[in-house]
Amino acid sequence: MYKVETHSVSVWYGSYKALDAVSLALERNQVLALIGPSGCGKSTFLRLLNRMNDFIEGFRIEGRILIDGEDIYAPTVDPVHLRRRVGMVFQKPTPFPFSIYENVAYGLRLQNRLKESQVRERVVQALQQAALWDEVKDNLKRSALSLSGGQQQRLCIARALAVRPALLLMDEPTSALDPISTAKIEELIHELRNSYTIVVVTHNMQQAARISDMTAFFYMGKLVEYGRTKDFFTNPQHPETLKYITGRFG
Amino acid sequence: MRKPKRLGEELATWGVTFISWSAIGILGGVLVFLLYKGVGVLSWSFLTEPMRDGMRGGGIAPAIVGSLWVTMVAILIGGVIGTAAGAYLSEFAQQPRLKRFIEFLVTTLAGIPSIVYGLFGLALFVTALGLGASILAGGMTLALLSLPLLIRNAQEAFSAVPSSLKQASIGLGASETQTFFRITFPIALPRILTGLVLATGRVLGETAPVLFTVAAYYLPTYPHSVLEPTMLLPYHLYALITSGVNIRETYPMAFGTALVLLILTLCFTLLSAYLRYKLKKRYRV
Repeated sequence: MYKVETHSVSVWYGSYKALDAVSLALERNQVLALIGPSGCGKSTFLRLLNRMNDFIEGFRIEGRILIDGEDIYAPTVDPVHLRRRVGMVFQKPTPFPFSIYENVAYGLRLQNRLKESQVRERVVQALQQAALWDEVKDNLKRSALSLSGGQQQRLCIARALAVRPALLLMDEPTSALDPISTAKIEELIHELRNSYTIVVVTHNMQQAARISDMTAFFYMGKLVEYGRTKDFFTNPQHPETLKYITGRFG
Repeated sequence: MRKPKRLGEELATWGVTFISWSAIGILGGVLVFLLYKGVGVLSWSFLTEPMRDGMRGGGIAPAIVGSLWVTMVAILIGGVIGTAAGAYLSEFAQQPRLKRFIEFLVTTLAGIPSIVYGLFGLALFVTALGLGASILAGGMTLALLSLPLLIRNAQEAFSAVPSSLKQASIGLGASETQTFFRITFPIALPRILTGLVLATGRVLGETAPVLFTVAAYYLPTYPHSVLEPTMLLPYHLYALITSGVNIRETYPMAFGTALVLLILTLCFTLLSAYLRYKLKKRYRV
């Protein structure tokens, strides 16, 4: 069974068609990079997977999206529950103005089922997975706002991992960071692939080539090309893809 | 050599500086004037003892206690309603036209003369609801009066919470209600409290709305429940100046009362400024 499957998914915002019949399938423990010029629909596609588009006025979807075989737009699905299984990391770090500990524990406390000792265990584990533990272990009570931008972004990743999501979404997670922090996040994505399936939007094609197993190229709402990253950049099948990856537009 | 343009600029700078300082000067002048006239009657017993001999002797303690009671009731009721309304306008109102209409009403409410609130409070709380002239009726009237300020303040406090944080919370699987109570409300709270404290200072000095709803002319005892009337600082001041038994005798006490009122009000204003300063340091979001 695939981790994520979409079957001719189209999206409208009012009368504007943002995605046109997108079909793809992603296997477990793979990293999928979504690339394409601004406004091509890659962020819309990402946000379909945890139903963050539901809040946008005039949003409408056709087609089916399956995560672990379950149709996430079925009427019986509670989007709040879905988002607990599909974690998300945003473009800019969004630490809450609480302590580091409380930031990571946030998602766990929403469900209210864990003892404090279990919460603590999960927080430590998540911080270790996000490669932030060594830098913060001495003082978890410190305000998350006192961390550097790169650390804040890793904190947000830890926060998303703490609830043990089935799928992790990242929306240009390094575009607000310096090169060293970017390298750390990329390394982290590489590590996380062992236990998670990750979908990441990026503007940076080198980054897509470095971190992903699969690459999907979106252009004007259409999925133009989708395939293994190593084939994608060495032997693109479509002229638009070639133009984009050689920097002729976008 | 100086060009005329620079002279003009210099004059403008001087003018602006002078005007700003004169604002400070006026505040200082009022303070100095009240201190000069009123500090003579200030004493521990003036602050802690009830009035005697038909206002001609004793202190003003019942008026201080009464004012604090009424203000507390007003801010409690106004705070809850104002915060709820502000939350609705900022977070939950779906239709922009309805929202704009409510905002317009709130602005209009702010323009109503305070004596009209007093009359309204008399008609609704004192008479129709049968509360009589009481701390509760006066507090509710003052709550109405402070609502526009409190609603607007709460609305701004909630709107100032970055939407990226709300989104992050939703993204972690929080419902909208959870996001409001765990993220939006706690982050907005310091600002809301700042507004409440500022409103406290305003409410404390209001005279017109309490005239018919709670204020007693001469009642040198302490209230036992919120259903009793009480003396109040602003109205006591008015009574001392205009309708005392012997105005010449009570004249200095009026200035003492005014001084106490001013100092209390200033305390709340300063507390509000302090809170704002603290919150700026804490929430750099």
